[in-house]
Amino acid sequence: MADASPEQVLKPADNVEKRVLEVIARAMDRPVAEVKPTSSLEGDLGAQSLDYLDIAFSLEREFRIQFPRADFLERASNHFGEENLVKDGVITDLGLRLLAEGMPELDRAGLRPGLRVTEVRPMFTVATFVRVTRQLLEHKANVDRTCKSCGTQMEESPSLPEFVCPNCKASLPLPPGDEVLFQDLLRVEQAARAGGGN
Amino acid sequence: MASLAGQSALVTGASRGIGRAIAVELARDGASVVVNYRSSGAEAEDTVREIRESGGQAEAFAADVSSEPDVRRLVDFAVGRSGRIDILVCNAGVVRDQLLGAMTLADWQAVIDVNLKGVFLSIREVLPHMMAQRSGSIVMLSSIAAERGGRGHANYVASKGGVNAMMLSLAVELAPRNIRVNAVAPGVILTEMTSRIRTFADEEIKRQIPLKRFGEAREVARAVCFLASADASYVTGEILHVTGGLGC
Repeated sequence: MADASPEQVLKPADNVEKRVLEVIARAMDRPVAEVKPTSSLEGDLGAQSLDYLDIAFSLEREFRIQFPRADFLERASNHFGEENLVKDGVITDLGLRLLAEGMPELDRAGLRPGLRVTEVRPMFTVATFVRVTRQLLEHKANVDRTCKSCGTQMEESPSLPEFVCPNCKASLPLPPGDEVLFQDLLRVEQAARAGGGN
Repeated sequence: MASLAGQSALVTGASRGIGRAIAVELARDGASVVVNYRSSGAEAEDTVREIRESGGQAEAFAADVSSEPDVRRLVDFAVGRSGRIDILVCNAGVVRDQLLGAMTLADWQAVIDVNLKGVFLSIREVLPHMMAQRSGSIVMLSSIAAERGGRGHANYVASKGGVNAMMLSLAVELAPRNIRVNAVAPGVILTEMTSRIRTFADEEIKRQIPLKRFGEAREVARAVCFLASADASYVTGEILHVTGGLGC
C-alpha cells in the first residue's frame, strides 16, 4: 500500500465508519447488514473478551494503527488514581464525568450515579470503535515524519505500525493507542475545567 | 507424508538440536519453514540447506526471542513470506544450571527471559494472524524435568513449568478461534545441550528409562509434527511426553 498523505489518511468520515463496520462484521462472523454504529458489542453482537481483541487486531491491520489494549478507566486511573474513579466497584462522579468527556458516543442516560464498573463495557457500541479509530488515524496523520537521524521523510511500513526511513532505515513506531487516547482525554478534561465545567 | 503441504511454520531456536530436527521434519511434511536463530547463523544456514536439498522450503532469520522488537520483526518476516502463519513452534531455550543458593539473578533471568518470556512474545505476535485465519497450531517445547524433582536447574524447570501452565490456559483462551495449543515434553534426548550431563551419568540415566536408551531429536520432532498437523485436529491442551517412559 502506497504511503498515504495526511489528507488521504483522514478519509471522509463515512469511509472510516464503513471500513470499521466491515472489520467488526468479519471479526464477529456476522453479515455487515447486522452491524450498525449503534449496535452494542455485547448486547447486540454477542462479543466476548476474545472478540474485543480480535476486533483490535483487525482494526490494526486494516488501518495500520496501534489500538489501545487497556480499558478507558484503567488508562485514566494511572493519572487520576483508581480510588478517585472507582469506589467499591461503583464509578465516582469524577469517573462518570471522564467517561462522558472521553467516550462521547456512550448513552448519556446510562452514565448515571451508581453505575458499576462492570456495567461500562456492555455500553460500548460500534461507534466507540469508529471514534477510537478516527482519533488514532488523526494522530497518525499528524506525526512528524522527518527522520531524526538523517532528515529524510519517513514512509509508512507496509506491515508494521511504524514509519521507516527509506534512506537510513531508522524506524519510528507509532505511539501506543492507550497513550494517544489518554493524552486526548487529558486535553478534553483540562479544557472542560478551564471552561468552568468542573 | 505431505500432511503440512501449503502451510507456513515458524520454529524458534532452530539452528541446532531439537529445533533443527523440528524444522527439518516440518519441511519434510510439506511446510515452508522459517528457521529462527539468535547467533548461530552458520548452523541455521546449514539447517536451511539441508531442508532445501531435500526439496523443502526454508529461510533463516536472526532474532532474540526475549526481545520484543526482534520478535515483532521475526513474525513480520515469517508472515511476509506467504501471507500467513499456520504453525508456531516455541523451541528456543537455554540452560544456566546451578544450585539455587549459588544461582545469580542474571542466570535466573536469562533462562526465564528466553524460555518463558520468549514464548509469551512469540505467541502474542503470531496471534493477530492466526486469529484472522481462524486457525493455527502452537506447539511449545516443555520438558519432563518440569514434572520431576532434580538438582541444579530450578530456573529451567520454573520456566518449563510456566510453559505447561501457559499452554493449558491458552488452549482454553484461543479455542474459540480454532487455534490449538499443545506442548511436547522431551525426556533425555541426544543433543549438544544434554551432552554435558550425559557424559558423567549415561548408564545411570539409561537405567531409569523404561526403553533403556536416550531419545533422538527426530523422535521429538515427529511428535511436534503430529501436533501441528490435522491428525491432531481434536487435540488441544495436551502435553505429549516423548521420554521413553521416563517418569511413568
